[in-house]
Amino acid sequence: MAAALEVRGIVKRYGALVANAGVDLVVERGEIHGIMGENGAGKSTLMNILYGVTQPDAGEIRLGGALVRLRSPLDAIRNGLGMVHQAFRLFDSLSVWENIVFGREPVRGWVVDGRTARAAVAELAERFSLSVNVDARVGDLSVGVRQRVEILKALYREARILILDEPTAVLTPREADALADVMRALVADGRSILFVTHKLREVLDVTDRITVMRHGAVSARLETARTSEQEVVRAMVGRAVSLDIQRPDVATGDVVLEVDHLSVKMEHGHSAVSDAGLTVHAGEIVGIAGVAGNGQSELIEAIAGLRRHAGGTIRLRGTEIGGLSVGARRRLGVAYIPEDRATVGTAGRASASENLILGFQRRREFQRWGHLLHERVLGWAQRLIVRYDVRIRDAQTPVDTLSGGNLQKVVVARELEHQAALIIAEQPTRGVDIGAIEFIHRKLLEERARGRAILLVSAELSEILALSDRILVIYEGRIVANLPSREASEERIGSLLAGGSGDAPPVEAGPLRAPSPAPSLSDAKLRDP
Amino acid sequence: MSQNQSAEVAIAIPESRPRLNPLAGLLDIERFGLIYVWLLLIAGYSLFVPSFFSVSTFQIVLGSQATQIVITLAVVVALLGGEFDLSVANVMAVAATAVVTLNTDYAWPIGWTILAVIAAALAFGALNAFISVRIGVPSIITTLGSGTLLMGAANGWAGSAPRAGVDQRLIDLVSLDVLGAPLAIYVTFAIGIGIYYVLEHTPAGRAFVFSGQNAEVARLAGIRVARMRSASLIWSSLLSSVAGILLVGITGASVPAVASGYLLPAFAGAFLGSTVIRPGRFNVAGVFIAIYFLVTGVTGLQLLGYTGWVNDVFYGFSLVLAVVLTQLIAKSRRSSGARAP
Ligand SMILES: Nc1ncnc2c1ncn2[C@@H]1O[C@H](COP(=O)(O)OP(=O)(O)O)[C@@H](O)[C@H]1O
Ligand SMILES: [Mg+2]
Repeated sequence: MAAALEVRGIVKRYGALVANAGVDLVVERGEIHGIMGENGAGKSTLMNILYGVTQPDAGEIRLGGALVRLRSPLDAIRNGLGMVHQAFRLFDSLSVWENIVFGREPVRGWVVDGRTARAAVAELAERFSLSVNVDARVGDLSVGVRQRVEILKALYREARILILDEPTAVLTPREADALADVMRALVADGRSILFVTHKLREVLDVTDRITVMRHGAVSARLETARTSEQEVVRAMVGRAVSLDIQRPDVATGDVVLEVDHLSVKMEHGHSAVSDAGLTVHAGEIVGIAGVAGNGQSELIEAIAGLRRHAGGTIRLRGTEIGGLSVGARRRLGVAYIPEDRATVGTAGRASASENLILGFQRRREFQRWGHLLHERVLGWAQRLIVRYDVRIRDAQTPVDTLSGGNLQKVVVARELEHQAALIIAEQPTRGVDIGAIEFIHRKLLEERARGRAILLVSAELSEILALSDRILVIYEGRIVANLPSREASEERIGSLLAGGSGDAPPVEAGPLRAPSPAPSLSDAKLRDP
Repeated sequence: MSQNQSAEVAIAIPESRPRLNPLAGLLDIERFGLIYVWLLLIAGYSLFVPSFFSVSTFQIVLGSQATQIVITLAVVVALLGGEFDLSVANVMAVAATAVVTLNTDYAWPIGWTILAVIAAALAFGALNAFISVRIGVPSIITTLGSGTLLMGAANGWAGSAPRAGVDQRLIDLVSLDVLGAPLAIYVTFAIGIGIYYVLEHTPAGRAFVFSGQNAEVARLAGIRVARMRSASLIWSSLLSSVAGILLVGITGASVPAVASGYLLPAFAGAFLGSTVIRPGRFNVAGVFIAIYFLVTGVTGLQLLGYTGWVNDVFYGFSLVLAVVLTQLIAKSRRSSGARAP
């Protein structure tokens, strides 16, 4: 019998950049097929071609043996394809069921039949154990639940082949496990899944076969049962990679950041951070561990100047900076790698060089009599692009075409170039591939060796443990532990994260939920006043 | 939820919020604020202008607005589809001219005349759609140009002077007195309810509204977004021509020069209307409230003795105010929706 999906020789070029260079791919019925590859390897491009979002320059697609042309998502849907995008594509103002049936509403006479629609959605959710409240407003839902809505949306459109583009990048470990169960239930039902990820553990856990991409081409086809982590990584990166970091001893210097009795209140008055105190010395990495939503974002935003604090002091090398603007803080020596690289960290429409120079425009070397010297700026940007290995066509390309990891490198490059005394790194490697993680870790350690003070926030405990000299644990807005890293272990911190004492075995990180992300800007355009 | 969707008519049910008791619901300032301002305005004028609070004022206010409301609905339909249609007032005026000219100079029967005018408006909307959607010129530019061109061509064809002499049956029908109000006003309400119904309750209408809100999400959900955008421009032209036909029926004549007076109130009404009933969204019920609010304001000022320039000041101010309000609403939504647990 013909394969569920067969792709031959897909080519996609963006100018001189070849995003897909003749990709072949075969996906059988009832299999979970992993697509692995570094950021910028061309995974999303291939998936978008399969869903009719982008048109390939060459190549053919067969579904169940029959040649198809997918000119639009509508074509793809009609051919039994469904896709859950890296960034969710839902209407925040609509309810769950309205989003799921959107464009295919059941009708009675001329009118949308809400009752039938809700029943159908509830039945579908039940069948695949994707529990959702069908009447909830999507904008109020957590990321994990929104993803379920996206999956249900594809299933409601009778997708036989489901494309999940980095679905776990935004999930907590528990949500990721739940997703794995859902994927297994779907293939047991005879569907096929294309599962894009760059997390090794996941791909080895749930897939049947793996196609590894590198620089736009397939670098390996593996059977999960007969491969190993090392083999996958080598195919992805082209060399062996190790995240076991050697942290050389660095003599710590003076106090750079000193935060005392800091409290932050939310818009509706409840405390996000209460009475937090911390110090970071020169040549030291201090890691903040916490389950998302426990106040670490607010703490960081208060230090960086993005959010007003309600009380306490923030001192940088002895100077109180609590009342200063973001710009003033940056001039005094604060660099900030924000968690949200796409909206806070970069200006999407602007080019790489414009993004790389953000905040540096006033530098002497870049201007003459108040004019920016474009040649110099470009040259500088070019050097950073090379040094930080950003995969981009050229320095003048807008950064909104970059994949997540490459965008992150742009932000990291810019912030580290500040030579600031304090570097705040918030989830510096989230959604970034393994090669880039290694790279960013190495850069952070280099900065530490140069005597910079680094405040690191990460949801990845292993990252905190690998990089930090000291680890703070934040729980419900309070800093509940301050441990030198040699006294910290995964078990001990795990217990503290969940509000335990640090002695007991870890308890489940129960109802601590990440807050839902801010509504997307696209919802606020003029067309929707 | 499905009942709440009908919030535009059954206005006491707040959308996606816990149901409050009806009184608390009516006190919802965000949703009904404009209605209260309107009532205050009426009360204020009644105190200071003795002649204001009378049946005849209400008849004027209610009756005179049929064309303005239909034009505003045309603007709203375009905005909902994600497009700006600046040609609505010109299409209305040219439709009026064409009805009179074809019916008198060319002696076409009135029925055929009306059908021909509507068909021509559809063709004009399709042209706008082709230029904006297929070729990709922003609709605000397309319609600015095409509307001006249309007006100029019509003046060249029929002259720019006011013309009368249209079939008396059209006048009698449009101004037929039903329970104290002209038939035209019932026609506008019927059109409003029809639009509301299609947009809220039919799959095509929902696809239309949400494609306008976020084209990318709609496209990925399998909607033909280009078709929706085209539809918005075609429908707005169609509605504008209907407004023109009503205008001829109400005034008995075509007056090309009036066109410019309709455009600004239409946008003011559309944006002001998006601050009520369903704040943050262009909506049909909001259009009616906003237009009646605006005309109350202007009528009162005129009875106070201000004329001419005061219209421009009032409408211009209202448009700016409405856009400011919509921005504030969007902002407050963002900050209350952001980072809340
Ligand atoms: N619309 C676009 N214009 C220009 N370059 C693009 C565009 N989309 C993707 N690219 C480039 O194509 C390459 C592959 O990107 P992508 O498929 O997103 O990678 P992945 O999903 O594997 O991380 C990247 O270098 C990216 O910058
Ligand atoms: Mg990708």
